[in-house]
Amino acid sequence: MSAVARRYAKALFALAQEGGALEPTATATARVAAVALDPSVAPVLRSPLLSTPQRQELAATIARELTLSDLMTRFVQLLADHQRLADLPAIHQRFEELLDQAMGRVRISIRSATALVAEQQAELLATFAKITGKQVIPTIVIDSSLLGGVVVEAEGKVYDGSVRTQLDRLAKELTGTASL
Amino acid sequence: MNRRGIALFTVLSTLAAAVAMASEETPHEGGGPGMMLFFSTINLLIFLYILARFVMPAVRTWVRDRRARVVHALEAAAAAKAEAEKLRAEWDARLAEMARTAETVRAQARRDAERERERILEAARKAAETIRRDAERAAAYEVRRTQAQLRAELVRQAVQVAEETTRQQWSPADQQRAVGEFLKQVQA
Repeated sequence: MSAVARRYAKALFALAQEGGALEPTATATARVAAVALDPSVAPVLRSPLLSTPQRQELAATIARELTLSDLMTRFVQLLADHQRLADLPAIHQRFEELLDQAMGRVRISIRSATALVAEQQAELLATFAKITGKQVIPTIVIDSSLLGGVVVEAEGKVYDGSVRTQLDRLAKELTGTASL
Repeated sequence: MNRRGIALFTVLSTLAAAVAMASEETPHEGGGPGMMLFFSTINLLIFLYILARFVMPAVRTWVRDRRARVVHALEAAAAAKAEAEKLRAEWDARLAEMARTAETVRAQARRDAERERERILEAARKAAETIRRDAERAAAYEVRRTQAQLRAELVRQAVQVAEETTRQQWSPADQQRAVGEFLKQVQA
């Protein structure tokens, strides 16, 4: 994530916080970021050939189509003026991080070899809420390449309990003893 | 003897002989053998005087010169001989020195050759030792590499079998147990 995206996200967060519209702004940034990531739109946003009026027109179209708030409309226009529309996904990501920090939340990613039963899932969330001391918002992904077990990623740390990793570690230890 | 002396000697001898002949051919009255002896003696004395006055100095001078030349020649010969002896001695000394030098050079060359031979042999021994060690090291490395490859292959196959087995036999109960173990480790 670029420092520029962080600065824009911080500024937007401050304005949204002032207006008491953190959650709606987060939703709006998510929608705008989804548009910016669209394969048909992303190259246009990154194109240096686009003139300033064209970029402004594009920003206005996005704001109109997504029925963005005034704050978000002005923000998208600002990004268009400064040729920063392509940074929208990164800005959204940083905005969510700031929002999570402000709300005392943490997002964790759970990869599981098989579907987790509700009981396991609740136990995992409770455990990581205790570890992080924050409300946990999980993203659960089924990843059969793990063979068994789970891998949890929270606050930049990876907690690996997968069979795949254990097998890899075992193989490394066995072959490592015979290293040249 | 110079020319003038020789000419004077010739004239005086002729005159003396003429006087003697005249005295013999002109008999005097009352003259006898005494007069003959007297004139002969006078002749002889004149002859001797002439010899002593003109011939002997020339002869002495000639003999002295001759002797001086001979002495000089002898001295020159002796000097030449001495010089030759000296040269010969010098050359003998030089030859002897050359022979000693040649012997020294030969000895030095033999020593150098011996040292060079030893050096080459030592270098060859070291090279052979290095080659042997390298070969041993390469062989050991190859053995270790092969062992490692074999081990890696065995491990790969074992992991593959374990993967297949896990895929086929991993049950919800196994997953529950794995998650439970994971949570224990995380909380620990």
